[in-house]
Amino acid sequence: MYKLTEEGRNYAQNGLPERNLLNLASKGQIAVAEAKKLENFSIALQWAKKNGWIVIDKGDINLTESGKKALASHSHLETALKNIGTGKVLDESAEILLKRNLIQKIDEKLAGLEKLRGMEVINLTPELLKTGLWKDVKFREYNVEWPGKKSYPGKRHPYRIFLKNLKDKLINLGFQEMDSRLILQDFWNCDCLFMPQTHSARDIHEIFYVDAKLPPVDKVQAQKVGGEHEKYWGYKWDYEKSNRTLLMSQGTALSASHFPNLKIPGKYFSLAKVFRPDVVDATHLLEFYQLEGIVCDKSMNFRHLLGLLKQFAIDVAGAEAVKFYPDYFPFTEPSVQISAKHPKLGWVELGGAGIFRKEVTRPFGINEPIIAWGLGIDRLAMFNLGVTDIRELYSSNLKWLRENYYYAKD
Amino acid sequence: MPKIEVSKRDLENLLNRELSLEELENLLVLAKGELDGVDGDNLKVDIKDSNRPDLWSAEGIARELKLRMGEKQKIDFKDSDVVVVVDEGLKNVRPYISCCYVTGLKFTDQIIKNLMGLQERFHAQLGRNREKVAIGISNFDKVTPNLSYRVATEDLKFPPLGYTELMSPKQILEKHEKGRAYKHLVSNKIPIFVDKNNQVISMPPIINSNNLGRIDETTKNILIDVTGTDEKLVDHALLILALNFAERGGKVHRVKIKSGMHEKLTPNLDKIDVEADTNGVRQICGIEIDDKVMLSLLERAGCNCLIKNGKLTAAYPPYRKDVFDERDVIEDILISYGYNNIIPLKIDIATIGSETRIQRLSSVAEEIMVGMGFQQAISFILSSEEKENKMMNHSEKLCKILNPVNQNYTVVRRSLMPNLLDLLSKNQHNEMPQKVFEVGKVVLHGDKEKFFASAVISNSTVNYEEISSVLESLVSNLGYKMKLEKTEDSRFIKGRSAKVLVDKKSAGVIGEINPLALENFGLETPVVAFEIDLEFLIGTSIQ
Repeated sequence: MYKLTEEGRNYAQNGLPERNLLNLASKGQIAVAEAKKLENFSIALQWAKKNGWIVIDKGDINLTESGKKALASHSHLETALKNIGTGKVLDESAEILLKRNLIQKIDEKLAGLEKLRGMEVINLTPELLKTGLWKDVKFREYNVEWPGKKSYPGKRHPYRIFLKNLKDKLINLGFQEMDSRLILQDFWNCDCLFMPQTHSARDIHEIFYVDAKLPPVDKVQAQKVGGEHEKYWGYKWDYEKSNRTLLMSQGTALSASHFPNLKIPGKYFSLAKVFRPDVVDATHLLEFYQLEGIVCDKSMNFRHLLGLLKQFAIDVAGAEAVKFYPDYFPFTEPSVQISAKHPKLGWVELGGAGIFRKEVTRPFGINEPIIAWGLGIDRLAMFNLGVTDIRELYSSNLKWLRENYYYAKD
Repeated sequence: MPKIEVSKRDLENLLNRELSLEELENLLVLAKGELDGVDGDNLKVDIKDSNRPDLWSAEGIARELKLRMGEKQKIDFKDSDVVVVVDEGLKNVRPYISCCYVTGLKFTDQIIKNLMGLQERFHAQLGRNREKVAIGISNFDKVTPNLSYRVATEDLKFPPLGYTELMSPKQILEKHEKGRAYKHLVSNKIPIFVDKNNQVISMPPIINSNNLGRIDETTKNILIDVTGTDEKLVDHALLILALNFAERGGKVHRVKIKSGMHEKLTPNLDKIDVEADTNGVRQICGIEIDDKVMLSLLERAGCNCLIKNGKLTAAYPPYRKDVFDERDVIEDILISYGYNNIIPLKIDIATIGSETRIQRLSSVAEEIMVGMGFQQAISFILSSEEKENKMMNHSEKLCKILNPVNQNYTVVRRSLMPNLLDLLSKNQHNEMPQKVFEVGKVVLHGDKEKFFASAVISNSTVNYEEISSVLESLVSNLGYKMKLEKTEDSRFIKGRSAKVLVDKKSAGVIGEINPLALENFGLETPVVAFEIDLEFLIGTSIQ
């Protein structure tokens, strides 16, 4: 099966160029210069000569005998061009038309589509488009008001989106993320944060110890820290105890573990996973995130600390107002707690902060003031995600995950 | 953080003023206190400073608030002639005792309740369950000075508190409830505190005598003994108790402790001296305060100060054992100034924010998995041996918690697959196919912390090729080339699992989950899964 090309369609409608030239020449001798005005003259000339319809004599075109004969009848090419849609075309004619690029082959299978002409079809197919038959069929109308079967795109977990947004805000404020750890030595988690090995200050929370084996902490460095303990807390500090391994119980430990490589000035943060023994219920988990970090520069003072906390409360937590309270952490002095007025939750405790004690930074050769801060984010996360049980932050309910649109909300 | 209960009326009496709840709440801040609950007259207060035992009672809060409100403080203790002789035989058992007596007290239910609360807190939090510090209160009128703290002899029998029956110290350790509870704190040398007539006052740290060592609402004059293994803490605890009774109008009389060649008067009233550079103080505070203001702010912390040539010398009251250097002085100045009177200042240090390399890679991995139609899961880092090994039909060494509190959380996860199977098992009623992934930390036995990515597909017709093509897309879109090498892994069906090789090294596993594991998780639909080590990828060269 064949179909007309654009050129073929043009000739089928307006006649082959050689036929048009023949017609022109039939009215009497005509100068070549005059005949050039004819559309597609050079094609016409070539084929009229080839067919033996004309001769050129001294710049004039004259009809031959066969040309005169041809005037009275259709050429086999013209017949083929007319019948191309029917399939009844001589092979040699088709060959010439193909060569002249007036027709092109179409698939035998597509030819079967002919029976669809004038019918109602359901689908618009590539075949209908290829054959041009789409013009001669009717498309069945759909029920376009039915939205179709539910489909579920791949999505990030809502809690992960919340955490990522927090991180992005910190990065936008110029904070550099610190590599995180789950397991640390007692040294970084407690000793460096000035929690004595024996004192009740270590009771401010409890700790999960694990059977992991980490390389022992640098003894020279550790003893400098131990020395500060002995001076302040007045007990015999034990190097061995500082090598016990534990699941990080406070985010600030991560900042401390970066002391040896600290670049000053600098702003650092981490979204740290911390672990504490507790009863698991709607408000408590054994593991949770703390957004925490430090700012180090020789110019830092208490007003900067408050300024930073206020910025977090307003820019990160969406608070309307803030209040500051004196607080206690063994590793900071002065220490402060920040409460933020959330438009929906009211006043919530957002986090704690302070300036590291000299006893904490001095063993690492750091003499500049370091602002340390830690924000509790779970209450905010629960509110943003619309859950009332903290366990749902880690939801494994596929239906909820599939249908949650937190993605688009924030 | 010590949580204490106080009576509002009692606190108002101690402060000599009536207060609305709101006023009280604002004032408590100055003693690092937070109102945690109100039940009629009964207030629950959290004292945030675990290093300030002087604040762990209504009397202590009142003492601090009066100072902060501008009242002057006077510690007016008398030195008495009463002596306690300490037996050196107790040197390796419980060597320290501090002692005083208080006269002119009017005991009420409230005072006794407060006292018992504080005693309990000191025993538990400060005293490490009576080891370092234990407190005894006795009726001073029944005691004949001088006193002796010595090793008990077996013939010394007395009725323990609450009993009339006479018992020897050894019998108390074996039969009495408190004796059995604290037996481990004494050796075969049992400490005993007796008066001149060899009458037992108490048997520290276990129990008082029912005769001398019992107080009630009619008691006017009391004897306080504090014993323990940490001399500084013992002194500190006695001082706070004495100050609290003084706050109640009692007259405190110091007692002399004679231990071999050493003599001291307790409570110890030595001031705590700290020096600071006034410019350094101003720099850290960030606020403009002149010397005069600085002195008056510190006075509100009970501090007598002097400034000379830019050097501040501060003499803190004897109970401020938490004070150590300039920074402590700074905090006291700021608290007196009022945190909310300070104008916050924006930090203006230009730095460039960034994420860590592994976090960036994780984000990209997440994006690719989401793009392939997978739902992200987030699960707990803590897991159980049961889930990690037994249910997975697997056995691998795990990082164990040495002091677990919940049987579902006894190890740190070493794989993300168990939690993903767990998730599938809870969602079998939801539409299939279910494609879920997680990117997160795991800990291999020993010390290696890794970022893994894992994905599962659950569907009635699912097969190996479906998951291997996902893995191939993930790895190649992260910029690496991988090869799969047939392997045997008990978590998967035999002949249907492979190692993921990147740079010729194993970076993960892939396969069709073993029906044994599916059964263990209660899964009735086949599951294919993979898991790869993203951190390992960072270590290899990008293609």
